[in-house]
Amino acid sequence: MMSINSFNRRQFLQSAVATGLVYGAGALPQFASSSIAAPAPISNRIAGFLNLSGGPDMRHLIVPAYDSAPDSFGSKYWKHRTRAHRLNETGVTAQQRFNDDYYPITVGGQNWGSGMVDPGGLNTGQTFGIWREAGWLIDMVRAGDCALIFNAVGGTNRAHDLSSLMLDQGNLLSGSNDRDRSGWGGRLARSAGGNAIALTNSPSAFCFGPLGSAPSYNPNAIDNRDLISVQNSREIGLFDFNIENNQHYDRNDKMARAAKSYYAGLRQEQIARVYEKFMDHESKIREFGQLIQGRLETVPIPTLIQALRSDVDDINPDPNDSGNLGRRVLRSRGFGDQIRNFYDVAATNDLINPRVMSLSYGGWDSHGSQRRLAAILDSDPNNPFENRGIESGLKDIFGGQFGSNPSNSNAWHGGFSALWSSFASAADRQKVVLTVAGEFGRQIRDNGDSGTDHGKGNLMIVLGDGVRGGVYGEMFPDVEVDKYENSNLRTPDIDPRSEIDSFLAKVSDWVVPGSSSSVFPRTASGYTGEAPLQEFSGIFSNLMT
Amino acid sequence: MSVMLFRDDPSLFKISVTKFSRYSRKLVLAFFLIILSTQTALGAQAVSSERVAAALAAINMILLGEEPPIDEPVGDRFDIALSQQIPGPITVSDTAYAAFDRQKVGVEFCLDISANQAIQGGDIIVEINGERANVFEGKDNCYSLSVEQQRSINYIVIRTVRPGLVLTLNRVELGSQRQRQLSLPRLTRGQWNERAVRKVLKIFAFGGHAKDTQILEWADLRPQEAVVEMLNFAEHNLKLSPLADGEIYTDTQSDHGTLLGFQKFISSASSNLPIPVNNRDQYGLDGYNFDDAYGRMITVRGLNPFRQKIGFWETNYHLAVNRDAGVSRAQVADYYDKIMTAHEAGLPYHEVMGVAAKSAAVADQYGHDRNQWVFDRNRNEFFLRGNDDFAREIHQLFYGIFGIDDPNHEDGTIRETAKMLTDMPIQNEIVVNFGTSRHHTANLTILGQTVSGANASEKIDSLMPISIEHPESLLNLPVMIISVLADDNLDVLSAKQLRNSWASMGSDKNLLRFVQAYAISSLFHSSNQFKYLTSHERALYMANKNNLDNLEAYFGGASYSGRAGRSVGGVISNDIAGEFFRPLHNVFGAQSALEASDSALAFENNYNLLTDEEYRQRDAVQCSRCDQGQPWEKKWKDVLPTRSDGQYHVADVAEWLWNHAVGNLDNYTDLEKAHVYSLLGATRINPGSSSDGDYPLDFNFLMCIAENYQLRESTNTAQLNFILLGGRWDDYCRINDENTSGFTAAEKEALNRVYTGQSIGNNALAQDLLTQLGAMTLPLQATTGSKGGDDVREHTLERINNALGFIFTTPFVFAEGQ
Repeated sequence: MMSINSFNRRQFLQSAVATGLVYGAGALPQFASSSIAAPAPISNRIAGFLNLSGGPDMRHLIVPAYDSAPDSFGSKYWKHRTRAHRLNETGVTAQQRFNDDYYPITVGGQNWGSGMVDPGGLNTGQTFGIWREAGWLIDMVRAGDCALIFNAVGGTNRAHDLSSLMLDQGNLLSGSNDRDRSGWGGRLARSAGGNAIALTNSPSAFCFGPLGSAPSYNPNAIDNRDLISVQNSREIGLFDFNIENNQHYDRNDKMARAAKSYYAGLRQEQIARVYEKFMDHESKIREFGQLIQGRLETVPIPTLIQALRSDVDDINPDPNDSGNLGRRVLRSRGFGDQIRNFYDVAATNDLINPRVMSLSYGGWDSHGSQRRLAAILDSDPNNPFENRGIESGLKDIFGGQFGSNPSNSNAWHGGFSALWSSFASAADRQKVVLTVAGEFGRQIRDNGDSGTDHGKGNLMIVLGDGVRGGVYGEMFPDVEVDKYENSNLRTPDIDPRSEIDSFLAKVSDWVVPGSSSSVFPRTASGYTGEAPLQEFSGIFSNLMT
Repeated sequence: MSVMLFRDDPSLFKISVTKFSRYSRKLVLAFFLIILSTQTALGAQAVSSERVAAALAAINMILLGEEPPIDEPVGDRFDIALSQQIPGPITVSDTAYAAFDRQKVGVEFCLDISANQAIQGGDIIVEINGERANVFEGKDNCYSLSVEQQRSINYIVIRTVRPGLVLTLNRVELGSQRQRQLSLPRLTRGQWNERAVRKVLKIFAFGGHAKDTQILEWADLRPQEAVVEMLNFAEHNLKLSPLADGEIYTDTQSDHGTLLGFQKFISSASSNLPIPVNNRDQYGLDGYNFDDAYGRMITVRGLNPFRQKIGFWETNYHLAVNRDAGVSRAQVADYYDKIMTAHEAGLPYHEVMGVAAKSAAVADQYGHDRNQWVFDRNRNEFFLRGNDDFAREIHQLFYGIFGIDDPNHEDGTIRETAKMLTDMPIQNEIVVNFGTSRHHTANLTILGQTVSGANASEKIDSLMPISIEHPESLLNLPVMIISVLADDNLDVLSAKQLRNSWASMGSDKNLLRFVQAYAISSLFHSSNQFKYLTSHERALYMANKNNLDNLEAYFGGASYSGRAGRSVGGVISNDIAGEFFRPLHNVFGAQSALEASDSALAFENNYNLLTDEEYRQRDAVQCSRCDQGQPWEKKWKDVLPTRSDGQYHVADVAEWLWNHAVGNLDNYTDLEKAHVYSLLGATRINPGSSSDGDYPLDFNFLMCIAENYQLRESTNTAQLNFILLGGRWDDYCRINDENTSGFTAAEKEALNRVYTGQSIGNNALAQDLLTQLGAMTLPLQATTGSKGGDDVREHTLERINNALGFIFTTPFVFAEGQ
């Protein structure tokens, strides 16, 4: 049969304005310049969101103090988490584990900072422990820069993909067929008139923008005109021909010119919708790549950040190898890359106007062996190559130190710790807020495989100078005590008491005042449906300063 | 009434008729009556009887929907009924016509036409109820008539105009426009064409390796006949993946069709392979390039890329296991082969999933090989020692059962399923031993039904038919299948049709039948459907479109005394898309199509690889001893089109390359031609020299040279065979001449100019150059010149590879859609 040449199928666009609309070039800065030879001060507030995909057991990170009273939470918890903590194998008692491995804080008492809050006074006198290797987190908590939000829920079910969708979209009403909705990060960036930056290998739904302009955009549709993907900030860019050279011989110059010319021409024509993304990539990578590279040529990667992902002398040397001068700090190089990207995007914020950045760290679906022990850790506790179960991730993210009186001044800087320490000034840190959450939590009892199975409620974390630190919600609910021993409850978990909208809306308003009603429509005053759950009215009223 | 008939393109496959709605018919009738009565009132004697009759006929047509009668044609009549095919041959030396009654459905009339001599436009006339329609010599001349367009008796006339011209008609057929397969709307014979075939291959077979002649043969078959040849689970499908002409690495056409078998073959020192013996270990079961062996399995000819497409989807998406989670290579290979063997045997899909559920790979992945139902003396009761990971995912991931609105799902079904998955330890790495002593042997209630069996294997067998008929499974599973395999834009209506189709198979739901029916459905071939290619799919597709023989597939872009083929693993690795069998999202699957489309990294890598590192594409065309010590040359000459003069014309080659690499010519306009023609044809002309045919020019550069030539030589002509000749070729658009450091302003403007299809079409010089380029020929068979023609052939092959590389940079290899 004959082939078809639909010569006239492609319609020509008649104006550059239309081209911009189709391909989202509207996000390009008008008068951007990369000529400044230093990290630019952060000019606008930025929200970072770290998605802990897989359903992290945050009850492993923050635990109740061991309590010998049989009916206490501190007793039940440790009794039913013996296997997850590997106490039975090691012979370590719960008391020892808590004393050795957890940094104790008593609400209103020991190690409780003056700036910390406990809204509603739900936890007065409660002692909890933060895993000691999460040194940066401990220091942020003590500094009053970390809000620990208990009994939070990002997904109303225990299915990874559906709950992840809800969390990314910031919409607990989303169903499995609602994948074409925007993410809360994308909505926030649109509200800010800036860009959502994906620091991961591919953008998550969190970054997907809504359709239309703020504040009346349609959150139930996707338009990614202000989404920029920065997977490798140090290499982003498209190869271009060098017009200073003789053009007759260099084939790569010729191929680059052909491709560049072709895309430029094609951009003035209308092609099928499915191909528009790739036109968008070509445009953004070319434009932003040039801007970012121009700036970063003169901005070195800070040593602490470089050490996260590659060997740097005098940082984390192998104690069992005298010839080793240094090893990377993180188990996950990819997370180190994301931290570097975060730093670089912040350093170029005057060029690309980031208002939201997404990070991801996976591996939290800990049905089995969620704490792995290895003999090498006795002599080399910072071995980045040893799989420690979820403790590897906790250390990568929260390890390190902060402030003048850290809980462990010898700790190597982990991901956020290195980022925080590498910002040029306190003023930069004051412009950044970090949120950390997984799509759901785990059940309160461990399983027979030294792990924990899916549960709904969980702990979520908000960090930054702008955060009023403390504990939000009942840390260890009394009602859970009975659940531990109730054999009629086959899969008990943490009851959800605060839906993400209720506190992320405050984060949203901090980044862009007045944005929460658009970013989280269920928090809008005119919303007629069911308002998002919060543990008690007003609990998050003063979450942000 | 005007009738316009379209063919070939499903999107244009419609008949446009000036139809009158009931409402408009009344309006027109009133108009006629007014005219008639007015004229009568003005002077009855002035109105002729003929005009009254015509008016009444028109009124009758409007009122009754009847057309004015047409005379029965004069000629040889053959009657045809709905669903009848007259095999032929029917000889037509003057006029023949088909006749059929009005049908209750829209119909499609098709026939193949051949002639005793070459024909030209206008030699044949086809009339559909008196209206002229397009016709050509060849297969599948198809004409559609909706119910409204049909008359009480319909005549389709085929007439020769030129004396002596004799036509032979074959496969004359009258079919319904509404054809169905597994309750899905199936393409008709007229809608099923080369474009449709290529689309099926692109999405379901990583492009496949079928030759052009085979693609056209499939296009000429009925879709339901073609698809069973295209998509099946045999280990070897030599129509989909034939060996290249003269292929010397032939073992795969009859052996090594399993993953384990292929890995043994490709890693064996005794196999007939172009890979040096010392480099083979890496591809074996214990080798470090286990995943690269799989990539080669998909690109090597003689096997079955569709089988691998489904195998990849099953083991990396739907029923994913993950080597990063501890699943061993041996377990992966065993898992893959068992699933595909079950598919090949035609097992119902729930039984295939049962095979997967009972595998060592899945048990290792989720850790339920450690699950036990044991007695706790302290509590004086039996309890589950283990996790409920797979107990959840066997429902959710395998079948799409989330337990929505089922209050017993979490505490009932999942906990009970965990008991089902007890006492199934792994022995000898790939064998699961289904025991009873630590198994919950009593019946269990799962999904609200009783599941029984003495051990986990029997219980899984008991559960699977329940699962596949669960309402949530019926709702979700067919959508899960198609949404990942083939459509990133499923709408509610399409999803509903898929569910109906899936349900129509009753208790014997078969994945192959479902996929085949979908692949030839108007759902898949509609303008609403689109599919982004994952990095894996794109890498494999581009490799299959680049590689022409098995040496290239085995090399896969590697250099063994010379580079050949296109890398698959390199693309996947650079895109950080996760190796085969190391899915990015663990059991939730590998990189999704949406993720791939959103990955700026993937785009950037592809672009830079084909520009900055274009040598990887260009260089892989020949070597002096890479083929086990013998020379090898890329076989473009065996596949590219030639004209009757035996020459490869740039215009033909460019179009062929585009259609080959993209799968259609939807976006092949002057803009694309300009760039592809230039890379193919615009080159230094230096007969007898080693540089003859070297240094191809891109279109912007060519235009710059031509404009500079015209300016400096004060001429309106631009003959390429003069401008690009010998030592003159670098005289124009040259740096540091014309008393200018660097390029002149005009040259810079030309090098940076943005051309659109429209601007090229309106540019006389560009049109002239394209005409010249299109008429150029490619000396792929040169035997004279430098090194007996070797050099000019090599440069020609390089230019073809560059042209293909350019096509690979365009958006159209990242997705499929209209």
